[in-house]
Amino acid sequence: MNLYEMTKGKSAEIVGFEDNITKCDSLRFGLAIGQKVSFKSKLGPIVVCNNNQTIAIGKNLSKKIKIKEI
Amino acid sequence: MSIYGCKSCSKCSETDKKIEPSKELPKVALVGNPNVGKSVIFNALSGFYVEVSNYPGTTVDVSKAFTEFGEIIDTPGAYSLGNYTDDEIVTQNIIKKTDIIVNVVSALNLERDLVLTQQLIDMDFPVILVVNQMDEARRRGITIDCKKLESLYGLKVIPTVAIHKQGISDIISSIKDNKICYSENITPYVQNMFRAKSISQPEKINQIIEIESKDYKNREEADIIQTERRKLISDIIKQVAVQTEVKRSISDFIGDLLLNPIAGILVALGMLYILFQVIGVFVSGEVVDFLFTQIDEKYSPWIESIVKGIIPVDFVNEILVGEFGILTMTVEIVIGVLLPLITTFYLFMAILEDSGYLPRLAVLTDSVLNKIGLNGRAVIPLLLGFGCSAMGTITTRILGSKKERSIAIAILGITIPCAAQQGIIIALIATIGGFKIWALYLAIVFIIMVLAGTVLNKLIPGKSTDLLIDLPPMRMPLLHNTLNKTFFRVVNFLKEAFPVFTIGTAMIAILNIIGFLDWLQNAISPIVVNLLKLPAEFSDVFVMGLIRRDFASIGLLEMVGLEGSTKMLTDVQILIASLVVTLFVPCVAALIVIYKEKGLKEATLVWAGTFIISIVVGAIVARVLPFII
Ligand SMILES: Nc1nc2c(ncn2[C@@H]2O[C@H](COP(=O)(O)OP(=O)(O)OP(=O)(O)O)[C@@H](O)[C@H]2O)c(=O)[nH]1
Ligand SMILES: [Mg+2]
Repeated sequence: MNLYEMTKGKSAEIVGFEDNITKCDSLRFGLAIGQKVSFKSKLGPIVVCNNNQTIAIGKNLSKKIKIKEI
Repeated sequence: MSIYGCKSCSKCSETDKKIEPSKELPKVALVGNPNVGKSVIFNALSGFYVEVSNYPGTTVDVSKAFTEFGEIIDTPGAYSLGNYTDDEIVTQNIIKKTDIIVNVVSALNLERDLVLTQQLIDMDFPVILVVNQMDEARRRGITIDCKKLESLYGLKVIPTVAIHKQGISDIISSIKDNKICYSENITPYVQNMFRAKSISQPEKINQIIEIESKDYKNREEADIIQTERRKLISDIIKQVAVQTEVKRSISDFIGDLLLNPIAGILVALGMLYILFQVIGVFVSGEVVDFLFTQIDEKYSPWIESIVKGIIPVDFVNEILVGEFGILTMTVEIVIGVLLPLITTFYLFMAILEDSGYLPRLAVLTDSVLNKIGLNGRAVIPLLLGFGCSAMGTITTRILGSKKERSIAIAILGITIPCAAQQGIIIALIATIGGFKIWALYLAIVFIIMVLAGTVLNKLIPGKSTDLLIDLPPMRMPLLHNTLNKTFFRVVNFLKEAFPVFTIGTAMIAILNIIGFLDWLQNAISPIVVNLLKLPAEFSDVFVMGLIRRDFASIGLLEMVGLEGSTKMLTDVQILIASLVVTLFVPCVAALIVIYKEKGLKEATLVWAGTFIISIVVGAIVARVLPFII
């Protein structure tokens, strides 16, 4: 599943990226493979937390980030 | 001083009064991720003021200041040192030419921020590591053992609370004592790469940047380096940082609330309502009335008698204290009308910028902005444009692609009225008053913005990027910073307005005397009278507006009877005039910035485009409006 489909209130682990650009973009925000994120909100963009950081990710971009829920 | 030499906004012009450089002083660059507090530290080190706000991407230009212990350089925040974004390239070029790198990281996001540190180490740079925002980390239950960090990296590590100037003296003494070390903690893969050969540092930098660039062929190499770096960092974090559970703070609560769709929209509307009540009702009514009357009744006659006493030449008197006098009319408009409105607006913006609200507004507006080829991030330059177009235009640098920048710059030029324009428009519409007029005005401007955005999105080639922004914690705006920022922006406004008004007034007076104004009035009166259905005198306003939109207010306020003159415009005409002034060409300062950022072609297009749009819209509205009002 992708990040955009993440269930409200859940946590997830990043497992992959659709393309290299998405990967480079995400990496700059600490979103690498294996990183755990938790759901914060979704109003167009999805907002997630990793560690102490809150990140907003646009709809299209978040669809290119593969996750598995935990 | 900025390396781009831009002086058109207060973002980077504060550090002009520099101390003379001396040859032996080291170059010290502040480098780090966005929003970690580099600019606060720059200000504390140098005693100057560059803007500080609570959103990533505040600093878009390099600022330099000379101090007794070195040349301090503030850089735009970068997440990494690749050649990925403009910020990264700017930062990369700076650090190649510096002697000392002060790498600022946030204690709140050590894991993310140390990636850049590790990159600097891999590239063989000597570094002083500053761990800032220690107070906030403590409040969130994070403790960081900086002594341990120091021994693990083999670097000088300085914990700071920059907003309270804690740790600043340590930074200064480390620079003075030259406590700069090279860390041995190099990423293993990189270490192996450079082990056998003797490679120069510039060559190392280039190799690493090349491997990590997005179109490097051998992606596995980059993957290995990045995985190893993350492992190194997480090992270090395990040893130096302890996180304990703490109660959720009010800041978190508010931050989350703003991300709730309903609460978010309600807060945004509430904000607009407060702004309208404060600026549209209180300041533009009470304060402007009071100030204007004081100046008009007490100051103007006083200065008039003095000047007339000293200089008995009619012609000079006319320019200095006559109908459009520099010492009378300019003061009345700039100080009496524009200054109170602009000051209040800037103060309001400064509070918003400091609070952390803007990035959350970016989330809220993302879907809407997507429709015109932008993403939520664009809300930041667009909002800053309501303060000053030139400032908004420069800030479009934080947008992800050329296409987005062009769209945002055009929208700023076409539809977003700056604080000075709003001043006139508020004063104009106040003479008719009423909610209906305001609603109409705003609706029309909004429709044009959407139309312009849609068309530009279709016309401009290229791709738009998706929103990706980190949301900083909500913070209580710092009184000191808000006041400082407002002060510098207002001073900047006055510095620009007075000369423009003075030269403009003199020019108009001269043009009037040689009969050019009459000629021009005749020449463009077909447009004004037939197309816009405004009185022929409005041609003067047109000419003034070409110089600067707020300068046109002199003519306009006269025409609506504010200057004790008789009212010449009907309500419909006032609304048309307000719209034309809103949509009219960007002022010279904004135009120069567009030219610098985007070149002659685009600047010309924006200028001509706004000119045509303002007249076309004015003409249409002049025909439709009488049926509505
Ligand atoms: N609590 C706290 N806040 C801080 C500290 N230092 C900076 N800040 C706040 O952090 C925010 C960002 O500060 P800036 O100096 O603009 O950060 P910057 O690194 O220059 O950011 P960019 O220019 O966007 O790269 C502001 O809201 C500051 O008030 C600190 O030590 N403690
Ligand atoms: Mg800054």
